[in-house]
Amino acid sequence: MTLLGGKGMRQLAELNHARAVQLADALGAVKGVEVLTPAFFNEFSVKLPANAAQIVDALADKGVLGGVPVSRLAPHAGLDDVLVVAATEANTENDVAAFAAALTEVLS
Amino acid sequence: MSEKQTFTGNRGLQLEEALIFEIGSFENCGVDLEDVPQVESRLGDCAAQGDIDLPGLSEPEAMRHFVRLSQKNHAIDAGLYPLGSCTMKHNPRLNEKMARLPGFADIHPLQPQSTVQGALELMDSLAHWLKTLTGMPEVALSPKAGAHGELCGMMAIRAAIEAKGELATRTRVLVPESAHGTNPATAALLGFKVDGIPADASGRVDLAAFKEKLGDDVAAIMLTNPNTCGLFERDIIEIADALHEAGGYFYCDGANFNAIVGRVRPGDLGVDAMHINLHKTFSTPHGGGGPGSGPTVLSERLAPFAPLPYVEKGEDGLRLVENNGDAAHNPFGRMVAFHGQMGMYVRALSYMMSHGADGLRQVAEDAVLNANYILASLKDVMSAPFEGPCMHEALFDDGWMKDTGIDTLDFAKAMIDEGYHPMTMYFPLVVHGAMLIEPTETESKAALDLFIATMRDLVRGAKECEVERFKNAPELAPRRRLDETLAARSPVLRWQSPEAKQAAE
Repeated sequence: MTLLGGKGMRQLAELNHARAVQLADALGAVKGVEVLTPAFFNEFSVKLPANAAQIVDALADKGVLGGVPVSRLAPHAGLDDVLVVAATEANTENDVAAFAAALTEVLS
Repeated sequence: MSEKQTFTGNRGLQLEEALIFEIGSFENCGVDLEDVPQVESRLGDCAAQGDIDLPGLSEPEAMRHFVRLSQKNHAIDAGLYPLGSCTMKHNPRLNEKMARLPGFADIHPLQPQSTVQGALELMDSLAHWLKTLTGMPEVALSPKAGAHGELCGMMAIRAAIEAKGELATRTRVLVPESAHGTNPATAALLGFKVDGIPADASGRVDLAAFKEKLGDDVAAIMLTNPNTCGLFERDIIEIADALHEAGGYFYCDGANFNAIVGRVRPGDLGVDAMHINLHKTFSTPHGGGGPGSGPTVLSERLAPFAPLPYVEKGEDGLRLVENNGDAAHNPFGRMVAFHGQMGMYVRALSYMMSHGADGLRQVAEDAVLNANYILASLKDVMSAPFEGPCMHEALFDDGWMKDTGIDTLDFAKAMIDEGYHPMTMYFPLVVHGAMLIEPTETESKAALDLFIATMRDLVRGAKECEVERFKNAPELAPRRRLDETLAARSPVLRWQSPEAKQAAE
């Protein structure tokens, strides 16, 4: 916070949100994937056409840490196809593209 | 010390420093952030309505700010830090190197378990050695501090009592008068009634008084061993046996485990639950460098109630058991959102592995030897309330100061002028004007000798009634003696701009 200051903190937040919007757009464009969260800051949920935990494992094999399956947080909620993802200022546009490409591959 | 006034307020290398709010500005930013891409906002109606009035500094300004503040503090890396019961020992740099390995430092508690097998193995190894060193069959790693570990152990005890259908009747917890204040607080937080046990003339639990208090309404005892007077509770096995016979559980406060690690296994003494301060016994940083970590070992009788999460071996490697439905036993719940203080697990295991069994035993032996060296070197001029050798800390009372006009607080302040952090004062409460000194095993004989010589000189000064040396102390610290009563009663915790302050007046 000392390094960021008020102006930097705002820019950091805007960067987080912008990257998350880019990620939501990229993942939402993958066939069978639906972005569930209408309004968000930097974290949102997507519905997948498959078991989210298995997809996360498959993504990990491709070098992508693809978020948290809701089943890990709430095992018996009947939300096994829902994935919570987030983007931050630490992610680049290339990261967003790599995530969408890897998800497309594991879902095909 | 020279009273010379300087233009800057600095005194040579002792640099004055204003608050960030007084030197930073909203516009300043010490981070080179990239430009924000143009996207359509999806913040809904949650977009920020105004700016955060937060001051920013450039990186060199920020570095200087915090370095200057740190130079106003005593620290274990600066000198001997004899706070009794706190175990301010050296933090080996090897531990820090290990904790910064990317595979430990850059992982997330919720990433796929297949990608953190090394971290899980580290947790499993740490658990194994904590159980081995304590002679206990189960450990909950997750508690995040000593008192949090106490809460964990007492929650396991309460769950065991509840499972036996005795929750309504076992309502009393016995706590010795010399206990850490967190012990009765923990028992009270869980709804137990706290019943104090007096100490005997030797500074230990009065066994007869303890036995008189036993009954079928006793849920547990919370006993520290070695106790806060720095003494080993010689009757501990008899206490455990009598307690178990009466149907109670034995909580041992493990804050002082550093005095016995490698030599005594609490499991052999009849203990049912004990927290271990990784930040004391196993040298992980604390006192501003934390966080703490308080894994809690559990006996056979309490193991079935151990909290989530824990690591177990599965078919495809190690896995975290994170939910009740996946546990083979009956967890009482969970203490923390994730898995506890991973960085401290790494440091503690690094300390264990680098010391080995012989090294850990020597930790306890040297800690006790150093404390006894202090006791033996000062007891002819100061007054020790209890007979005989001590364990890891030496306790003195203020009897020797009688009629000098100087009290324990004055003595402690004068130690600051000599470059020492004061020892623990006025604790334990069972001793008048207590001064509790814990040198730890990491001080050399030369360091101890200088400390002893300093203490003897201060004692001489006190006995010769050099009142100003004490009443005016500290004179050489960055700040003089503060009005502690005013600070406690009217703390100023929030910065106000000069304008806001003026408006408020």
